[in-house]
Amino acid sequence: MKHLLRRSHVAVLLAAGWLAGCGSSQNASTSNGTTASTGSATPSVRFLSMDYDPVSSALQKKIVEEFNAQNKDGGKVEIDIIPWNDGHQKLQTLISGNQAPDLAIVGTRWMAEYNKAGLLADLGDADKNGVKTSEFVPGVLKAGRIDNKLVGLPAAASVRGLYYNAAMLKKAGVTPPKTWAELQTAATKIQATHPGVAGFGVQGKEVETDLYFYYFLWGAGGDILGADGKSALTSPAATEALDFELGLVKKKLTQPQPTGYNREELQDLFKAKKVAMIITGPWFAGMLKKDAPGLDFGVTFIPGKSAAVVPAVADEVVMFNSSGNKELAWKFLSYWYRDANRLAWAKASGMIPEKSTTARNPELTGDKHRAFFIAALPKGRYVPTHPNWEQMANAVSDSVQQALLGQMDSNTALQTASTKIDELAQ
Amino acid sequence: MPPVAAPLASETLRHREARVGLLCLAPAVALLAIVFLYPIVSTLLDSVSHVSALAGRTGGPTAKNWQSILSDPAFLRGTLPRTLFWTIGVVSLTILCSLPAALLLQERFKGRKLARTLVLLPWAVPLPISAIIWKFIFNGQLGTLNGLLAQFGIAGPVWLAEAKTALPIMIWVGVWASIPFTTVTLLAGLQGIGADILEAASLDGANGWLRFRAIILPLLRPVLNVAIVLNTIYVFNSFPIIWVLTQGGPANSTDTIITSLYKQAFRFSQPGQAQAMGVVSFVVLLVFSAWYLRLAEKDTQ
Amino acid sequence: MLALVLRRLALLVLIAVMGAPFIVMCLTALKPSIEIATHPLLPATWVWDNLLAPWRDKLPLFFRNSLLLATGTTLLNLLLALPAAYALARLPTPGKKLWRQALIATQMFSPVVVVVSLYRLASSARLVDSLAGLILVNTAYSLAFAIWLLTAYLAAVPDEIEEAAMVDGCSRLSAFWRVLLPVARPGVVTTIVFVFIGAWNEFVIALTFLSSEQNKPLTVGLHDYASAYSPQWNLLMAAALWAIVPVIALFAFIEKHLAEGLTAGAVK
Repeated sequence: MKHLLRRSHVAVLLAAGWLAGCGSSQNASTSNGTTASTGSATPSVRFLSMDYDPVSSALQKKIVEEFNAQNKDGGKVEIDIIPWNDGHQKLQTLISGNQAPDLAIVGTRWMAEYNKAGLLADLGDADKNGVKTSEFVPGVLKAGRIDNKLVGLPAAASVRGLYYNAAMLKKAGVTPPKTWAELQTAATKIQATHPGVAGFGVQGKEVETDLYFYYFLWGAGGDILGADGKSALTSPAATEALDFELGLVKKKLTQPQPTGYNREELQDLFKAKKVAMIITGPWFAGMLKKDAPGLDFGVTFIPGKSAAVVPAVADEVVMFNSSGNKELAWKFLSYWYRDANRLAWAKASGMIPEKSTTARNPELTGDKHRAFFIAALPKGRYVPTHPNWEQMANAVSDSVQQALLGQMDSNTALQTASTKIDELAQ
Repeated sequence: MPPVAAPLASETLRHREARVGLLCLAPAVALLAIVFLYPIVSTLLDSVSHVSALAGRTGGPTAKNWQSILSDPAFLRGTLPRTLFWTIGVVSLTILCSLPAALLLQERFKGRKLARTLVLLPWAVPLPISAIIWKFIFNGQLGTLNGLLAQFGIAGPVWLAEAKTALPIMIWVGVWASIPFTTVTLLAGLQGIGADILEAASLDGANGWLRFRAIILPLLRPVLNVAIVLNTIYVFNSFPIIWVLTQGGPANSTDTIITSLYKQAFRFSQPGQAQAMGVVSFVVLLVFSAWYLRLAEKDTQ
Repeated sequence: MLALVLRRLALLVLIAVMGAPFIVMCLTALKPSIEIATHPLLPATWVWDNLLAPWRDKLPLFFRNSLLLATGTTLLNLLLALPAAYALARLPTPGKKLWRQALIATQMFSPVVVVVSLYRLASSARLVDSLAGLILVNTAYSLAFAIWLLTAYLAAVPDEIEEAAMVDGCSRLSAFWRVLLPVARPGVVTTIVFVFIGAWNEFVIALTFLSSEQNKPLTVGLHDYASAYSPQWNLLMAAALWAIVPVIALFAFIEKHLAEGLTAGAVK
């Protein structure tokens, strides 16, 4: 049955291929990675990357082109850059269709899932393949290790910090907050002295809505998963954290309707001086200097209930086991990780260099905001790796949204998320 | 030529032509069989099997997929009734807007052709692109609507941030997108009725409404039924509007079965549950169509 | 008189509402970025270059893909639908009624309901992330409609015309080609336009099947851009403007056949 289906498909495919003739012959060399890897003479590697912003996407493409230019006889790399919001879905689709790329940039949060399904290649022999692991910032390789197997190399590392509008803080007579209490006071005073400005921004939509809650959860000393691998969201710390986040919204110390704002829209509010403090990553400093040159801002650690929080996120580059051209993939990776390329990447994307050799570069350390994030990276705290993490994160995100919308109180919201997480934890 | 030979020859000719006919149909039928039958069977099978996003069907039969969607209050008490609300809302409002639209465009006046073209135009535009434009119009920060409100000193809300505003907006965009097709169908129906009857029943005068109900509506009934059934199928299965406007968020509060299915399959790696939802949506549509067409048949009798 | 004024007014409102998004699209497309937040309707500075900007970006690629996709679908569709319609309209094909009912039945389905299975089917045939796979699925989903429409047109041609041609020594094929098809031309043109527009506008299958930017048509390309972190709305609207130009032109071209086309499958 299956064979029969396939054969008739080939016939129809031939017809369609003939019809689309001019098109397929034109782009066969650039777009059709699967044909290339199954039979053609020059090997090719398909690299599915993610879109950080237009500038760094252009850089990613440029690096690939440069590699291809100097590797003319050794095969070529084809890069596709897709939006983060569709990233997991797209990879999922490709994998389930046996069309996994050779290399991909993934969120750390997806790695465990792919690793459990046996899809990820062991990158433990990186050193033999021209990627020196000793050059990475201590600790940053941890994020790519699952059960002592190195499955991902850091491709874009960031630490999150609290951005504040220095002029507004000054006018309100407050210093950058170090604790929750100070954050709340600062927001109140800013709003009193700046009508129409929201003291603090809360993200409530799309990717990282859950992370915005973990900023507070970790700040209260709580965690997402307990030592037993089950949900720890029913702890008093978790309730306290969500109550604090919701409290800011209810006291109108944030922009109204947080569920209408994703990370970028929150950043846009800060740029437009409609919000005085937000939490986001290192890239935002560069954006501010470019898009809002007159805005006097500062970055500090995210306030916790009593101690500061240093959440870190590392996106990783992984290699799929199904790759037919691991050698070429490694060759490309060693090129990708050259200091000059990583420096260009850090400058374009605003991410923190994951290699100490790059991080030492005075071009980066000379900038006080970048220096803050570079220094913070080794202390970074990551979300757990779990094969079902994406769904767990979604459960948390849903609950947080429902709480923000006032459809659930914090206890019910956390209980709901916990139940789902426990189901997923098994 | 012997007298019996002629019918005999035409008999074999008929046979040959019948064979040619089947041969002509074969390629089309083959493609339809592959693209329709295989996925339907596979969807049914998946819904009662263990399915992995990464490896396909791994075992079965199991009731697991059905249990998990039927025990999920978010699906039973959220997505399912919301899908019906969305469908009924869009279809009924569309009919309500399209009937007068068709009557207005039926009249003879200068520039009628242009008016018709303008009203029907959205039909030709890709839905995702229309939806992107609407998404911009309702954008909280930059959108046209809030920009206009601001000129009157009103600070508009972030329209798509909450279901209570996002859902009506979705329905509105759905209606807007369905009006052209429905209007054109009803226009065709009105043309079938004939100008003299319409002229006689034109909406002028005090009892225009009565005449409309007594004369036009009954004659329009068959076309109206078609418009309702087709719209229901289209709207129920609609994906781009919701996907572009909210992706079903926040917290799945604007999901319909279709968007929920898509997310289960491609975002949360639950293809089995997605396939069960696919079966649900198919059954709902089948039951509706059968019920409605029977009702319509009784009606006309 | 009052009623007439009211009716004309209602018509104007209707046209305004249906056209509003396109007006917003055009005006936004011509604004500089900084005016998007400050000028909800008319721009203060008209930036005509915005219209060209997408052509310097990825628009040519997306446009080419949409064109290939829609043309490929239309050609394959005609290749399959014309013989099938001929068989149903003019040949003593057995089981005609059954075939027609089966064709209507396919109209009940939307690809999104079985998208998971379709995806798996396509990937087992190695047709994922290729325009060929999309062309096949699009063709299948527009085929029933095309056959239906063409059958109606071909059946409407009087038998005598075809018979006369065959008496003149034409074979069935050449009678079809030289006589029947020209007579049924409006139907063929309408079918072509419908199928083309349908393929140009298709979204969910393309969204699911394609991952390479190289292969993306306008619908998916613009959707990706709109859901990216901070879209530049003015340029997005300019691209949207270009994306709808071909379908609008085609639409205007067959507008007078639209009603019969849309309802051919339905009313009969």
